[in-house]
Amino acid sequence: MLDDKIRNDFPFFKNNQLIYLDNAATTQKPQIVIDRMADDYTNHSFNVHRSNYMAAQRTTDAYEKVRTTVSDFIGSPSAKSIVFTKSTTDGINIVANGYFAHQLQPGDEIVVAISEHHSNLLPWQRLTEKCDAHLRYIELNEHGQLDVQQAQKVINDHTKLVAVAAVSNVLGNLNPIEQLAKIAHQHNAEILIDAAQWVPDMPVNISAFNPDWLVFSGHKMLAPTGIGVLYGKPDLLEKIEPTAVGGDMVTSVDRNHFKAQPIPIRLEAGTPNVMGVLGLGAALDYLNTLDMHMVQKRCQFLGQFMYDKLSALDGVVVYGNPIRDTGIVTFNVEGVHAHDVASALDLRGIAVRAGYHCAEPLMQALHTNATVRASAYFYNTQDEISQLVKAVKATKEFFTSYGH
Amino acid sequence: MDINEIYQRTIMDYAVRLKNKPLLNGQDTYQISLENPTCGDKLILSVQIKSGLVHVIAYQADGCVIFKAATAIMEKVCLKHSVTEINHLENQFSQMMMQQEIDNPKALGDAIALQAIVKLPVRIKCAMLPWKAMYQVLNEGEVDGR
Repeated sequence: MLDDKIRNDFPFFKNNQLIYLDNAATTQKPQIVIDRMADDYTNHSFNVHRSNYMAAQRTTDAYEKVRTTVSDFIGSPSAKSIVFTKSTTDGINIVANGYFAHQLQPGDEIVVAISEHHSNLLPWQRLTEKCDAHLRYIELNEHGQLDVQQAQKVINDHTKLVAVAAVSNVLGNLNPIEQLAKIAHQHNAEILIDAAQWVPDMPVNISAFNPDWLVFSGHKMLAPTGIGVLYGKPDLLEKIEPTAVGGDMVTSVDRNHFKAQPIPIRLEAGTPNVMGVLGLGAALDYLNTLDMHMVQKRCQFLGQFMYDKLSALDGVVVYGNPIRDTGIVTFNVEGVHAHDVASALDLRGIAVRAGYHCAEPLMQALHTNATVRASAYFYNTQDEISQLVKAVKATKEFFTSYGH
Repeated sequence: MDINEIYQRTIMDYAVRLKNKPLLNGQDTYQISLENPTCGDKLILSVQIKSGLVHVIAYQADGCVIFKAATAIMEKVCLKHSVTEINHLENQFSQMMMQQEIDNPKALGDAIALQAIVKLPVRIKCAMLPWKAMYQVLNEGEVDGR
């Protein structure tokens, strides 16, 4: 079991007193990632796939090795399936604009969940509108989970894609993605998993349910910002028309035509984010030493503790299923706006997020205009959560004293 | 920083006492709807102008304490003033939010209490929203019932 000592791996906590509970937004970096990136910047700053001296080749090898590390990390059958992107949003847009934009016919349907982050909603909203296709929603059941029975009705033979988050960035619960994949595949539809809040928190083995597409970001799992991953089945990646063409992605070019590289390089036009990829590799190596089962246990434990303690407070509404899967907990203090709660916590040295969380349709479904989200990662402590709970209680008392 | 430095009694009192008022319609009334997309503060503001003065101010305001207090104070400070005077007040308030010196702090009345918000920069937008709405409705707002 991971314990509080794990914090010593993160220099942020030595230098700062902040109680950092905004990990669903981004994570702090362990010293080992910082050191490896400093070494890469110092000694291995070469371009990949082009310069043919030995030093540059070593950087190319290191870059390609991360592709294998990523592939193994999520249980992908082949490193060929791994495309490096800028972010989760970027990955989804590549699939929408490079693939589905050429596949979708009028009358086709794309199914998303009401709890989707805007990044897994807007590309599909725009695309279905452009193609005269329809966007349909899986709603939440009374436990605040995706309603599989309703999903069974919404997904049909017109469905071309089911695009859902494995873990909602607001509700923090693990969605029944294996069941949804099965339903989608029964109707010959593809399934895209937004794994941005999933891969950082628990072991992932995609070969267990065979999704067609899966996307996530590095910075939510100790890697730098600006690096994301798109997983696609190789035969589907082949069908993507690259949304960007140019350097690195071609084998030959004449005056009128070019011949593209094989996947996945074809989908990484231009000099890629080499340092981001190497940093992601360092982060995954570090997470592998911790064991993702242990990471999951710790996140789940902290999330459950937070959920239980906050629910026990008078006048605090906590959203989502009472059995927690991750460190994300979303709540409101009755009669106090989420932004005032967040500011009051900020003034006590606690960093949480307030607002729509880029999930406005979900806010409408929850009948609220904003919520407070506290998200723990494995390096947070039970004591920090207790301080949060105490601060929420004090915040409520402060605002109530003025008749709120 | 202590919570009382930001959420001062004046601010809390205005926010608690804020009452939404039925929007105006009819002659010489102007209306605007604005929101802060990141936090969800929402304001529909309507004003009636009579003899060159802002004669009545009505609004539907939904949001945080800072925004609600700022709205109520803005109403009190702007009522019965001319467009030119209000434009000047808006300018003074913006200057204050940008931590710049202002010539006549007294003219801003209780809006001075909101000066503390500059210490919490993420919330400046909440305090600015009603002033921005007032400026826009008077200078570039949708004309309603003219």
